[in-house]
Amino acid sequence: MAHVTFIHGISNKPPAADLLRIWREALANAADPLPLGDLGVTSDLVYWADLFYEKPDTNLSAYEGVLENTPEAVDASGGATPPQPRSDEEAEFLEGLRRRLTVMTDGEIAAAPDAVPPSPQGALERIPLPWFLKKPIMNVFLRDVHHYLFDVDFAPPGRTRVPIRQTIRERFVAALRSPQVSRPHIVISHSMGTVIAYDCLKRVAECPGVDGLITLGSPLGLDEVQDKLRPEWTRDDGFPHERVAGGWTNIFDRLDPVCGFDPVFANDYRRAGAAAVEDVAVQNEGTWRHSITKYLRQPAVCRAIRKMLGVSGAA
Amino acid sequence: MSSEQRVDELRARAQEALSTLRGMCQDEDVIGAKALVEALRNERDYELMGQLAEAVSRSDPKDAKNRRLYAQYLIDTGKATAAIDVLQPLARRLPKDQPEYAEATGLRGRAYKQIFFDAGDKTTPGAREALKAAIAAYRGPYERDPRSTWHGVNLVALLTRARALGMRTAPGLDPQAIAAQVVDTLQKTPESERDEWFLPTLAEASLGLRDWEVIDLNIQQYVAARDAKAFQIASTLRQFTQVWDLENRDERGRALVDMLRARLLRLKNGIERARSVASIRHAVEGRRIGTGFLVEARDFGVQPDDQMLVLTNFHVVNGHGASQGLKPEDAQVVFEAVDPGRTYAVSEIVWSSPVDRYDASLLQLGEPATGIAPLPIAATLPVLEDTACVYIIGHPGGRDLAFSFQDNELLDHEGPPAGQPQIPGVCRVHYRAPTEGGSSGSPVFNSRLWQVIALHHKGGKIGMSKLNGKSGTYAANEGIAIQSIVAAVKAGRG
Repeated sequence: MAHVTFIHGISNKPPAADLLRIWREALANAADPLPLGDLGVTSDLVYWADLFYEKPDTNLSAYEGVLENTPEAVDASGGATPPQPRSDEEAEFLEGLRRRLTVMTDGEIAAAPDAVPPSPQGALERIPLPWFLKKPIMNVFLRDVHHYLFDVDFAPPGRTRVPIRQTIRERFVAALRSPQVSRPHIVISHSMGTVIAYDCLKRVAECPGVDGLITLGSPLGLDEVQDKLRPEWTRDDGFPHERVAGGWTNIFDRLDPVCGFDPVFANDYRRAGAAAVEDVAVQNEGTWRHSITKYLRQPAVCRAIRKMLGVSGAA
Repeated sequence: MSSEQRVDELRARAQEALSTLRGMCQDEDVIGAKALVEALRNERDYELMGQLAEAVSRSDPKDAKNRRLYAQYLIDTGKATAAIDVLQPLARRLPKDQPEYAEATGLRGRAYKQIFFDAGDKTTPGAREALKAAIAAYRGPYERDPRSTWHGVNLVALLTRARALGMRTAPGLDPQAIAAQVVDTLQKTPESERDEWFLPTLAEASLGLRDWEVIDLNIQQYVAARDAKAFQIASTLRQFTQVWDLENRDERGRALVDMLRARLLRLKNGIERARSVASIRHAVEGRRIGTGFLVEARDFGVQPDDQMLVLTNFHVVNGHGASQGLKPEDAQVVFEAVDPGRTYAVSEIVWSSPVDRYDASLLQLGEPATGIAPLPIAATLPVLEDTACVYIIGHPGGRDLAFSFQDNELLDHEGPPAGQPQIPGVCRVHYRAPTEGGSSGSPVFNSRLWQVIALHHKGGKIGMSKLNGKSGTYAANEGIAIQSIVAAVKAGRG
C-alpha cells in the first residue's frame, strides 16, 4: 500500500470530497493514466478553502472543463478583495508580490480591461485573458499568500476569525498523522498549497515525515515568499530534509503566472549547499496554465508520482 | 490481429504507397493511396494522412475528395485558414448538386468553427466573424437538402452557441426547430440506410431539442453501440465540449461527456481484453456453461512458466464433474472474439479448489492458444473509494460475449488495509454488476488499468451477506481476489 496527501491552492474550491475526486480523476485520465485507487494507493486532501470562503463552489464542471471563461475555471473564484497591509513590512511584501504579477497600476487595469499592454510585462500580462479574469486571480493570490505567511486572523462572513496559518498547519499535520496513511507516503501540492506543504515540512516541529514531495505551479521561487520562510529557509539549506526522506520534484509551466519568473528551485532549496530538487518544465495546453487538472494530466507529473510511490505503469 | 497491429500495418502500407507515388506509378497505385488517406483519417493519424494526400494531389490534382481530405488534415493539424484556402476554390469548381460540393462546403464550416473555438475570448470580433462564417457554410447545403443531417446538426449547435453569445446571426433560423427537423429526418431513415454517423448525429441533434430524456436515451444508445469507432466518439466528444460547452452547463451535461470519455477508454482497452476471454462449452452439446480467461503460468508460479492457462470456476470445470461442473474431457474452450470456430480441448487441470474455498480451476489446453495475449493480473485490489468500480467481460446466460459496464460499483472487499477474511486465505470481493449464470469464471477488471482483480464466481439477485462482519444483506456479486488465488496456487493450497 501507499498513500498520497494532496493539498490544494488559491481561490474557492468545490467541496472537499468532490475536489479530491476531481484530482484523482485527472490523474486517472492522464495521457499516461495513473489511477491511484486501481493501484491500491489511498489518498486524502488537505482542504482549507473553507477558511476563506463562506461556502464551497458547487459548480463542479467549471473546475474540470476545457473553457477558460469563468473565474472558477482560472483559479479566481470567491471574490477576494485585495488584502490590507497592517505594517510597512506587509505593505512591502504585497507590493513586491504584486510587481511579480503585473507592472500595471489599478488605474491602468481599470482603463484597459481587455487590452494586452506592450512590454515590459508582468506574469499576468503575458496571459491572453481579459482583465476581468486576471484581476481576481491577482487579488486571490495576494490575499491567500499574505494571510498565510503573516498568519492573519480571518473568517468569511458570519464565522469566527481564526489564525490562518496556525489553522492550516494543524490540518496539514493532522492529515499526515491520519491512520489511513501507509508508506511510502508522498505529498502532492499545488499553488499556495506548495507554500503550506513546504512551511509545515520544513518549519513545523510536530509535523510527521513523508517519503517525497511534489510541487506543481509553485510560487516558492519568489524572493518575497522565501524571505518569509526564514530563518529555517536558507538558500544552502532550503531542502526540507528534516521531514522529507526522499526526493522533491518541482514541476512548472513557464507561462504559469503563479510561478512568476522564478519557477526553478534547485538553486534556491539546496541540501548542504548542493542542488537536490528536481525541476521539470511542462507545457500545459490552453491559456490558463496554472490549472491543477492540467498539471495532473501531464505525463511528467504521473512519472514523478509513480517513481516516488514505487508503482509500475499501465498494464 | 490486434487493433495496434492493424494500425501498424496500415501505416506500413501508407509508407509504401508514399514511396510508390514518388516514383513511376500506375493509376491503381493512386486509387489505392486514396483509400489509404481515408483509412488514416479514420485512425486519426493526421501527419501521415497529410503526406499521402499531398502525394495523391500531385498525381491527381483534380480529385475533389482527396482535396477535401487534405483540407481535413489541415484543420486537424491546426491549419484552419490554409484549409479554407483549399476548400474555397474546390467548392467554386464543383457543381452544386454534387455530393462533394456539400461536403467541401460543410468542411469549410468546420474550419471556421475551429477558428472560433481556438479563440481564447469568444466575444472578440474575429471569433464572432468565424462563427458567422461557419453558420453560413453549414446553412447553404442544409437548406438545399434538409436530408443533409451532418450540416443540419452543426447548424443547430452553432446557432445555439451564437444565440448564447447574444449574436443575431441568421435571425430567421430557429435552432430548436432545425433540431426537430434533423431528428425527424434521422428517425425516418430506414434501418438499412443508416450509416455509421446515424447514432452520433441523432445524439447531438437531440441536444438541440432540450428534452433531456430523449438526449439521455439517444446518447446511451450511441455509447452502447458495438460498432462505434474511436474516431467518431472523439469527434462527438469534441463537439459536446467545444461547441455545446456541455461540461460547463450543469451536472447532467457533464455526465454525458463523462459517458463519452469512458466509452473511448473502453473502446481502446476492453476490446483488446475481450480477446483473452473464452466461453467454456459442453464439448458434445456445444452449450456455453461458463466463462474463462487466459493467464500466464508465470503469474501463478506454475511450470513451465511461459505456458498459457485458462482460469475458470471449479463449478464450471473440475476433475470429477462435481458441483454441476464439466469434467475436463467434456469441456471445450473457445476464444470467441478471436475465432469462434476454433475450439480447444482441456488436457489437464493444473490446480483446483472447491466452491466453498477459491471456487477455481486452472486448465491446461490441449494445444497452445497462439496469438492471444494473457490477461494482466493486478498486484492489488482497488481502494474502496466511493467512485471505485469494476468491469466484467463474460458470457452472461450462456449468450454472446458481453461487457458489463454500467452500475458496476465496487462495494467491499476483504483485502488490505481493513479486510477481515472469513474463510482463511480466501479474499472475497463484492460488486454490483448485471451478471447471470454464464458469467461464472469471468474476469473482473479494475476500471482504469483493465487488470484482473478477481475471478467472478457468483451473482446475487437475492441477498448476499455483507463482508467484514457487517450485518445484513444486499444485492451484490461475488468474486475471489485474484491475488489470493495466486497465493494459494503458489502455496499448493486448495
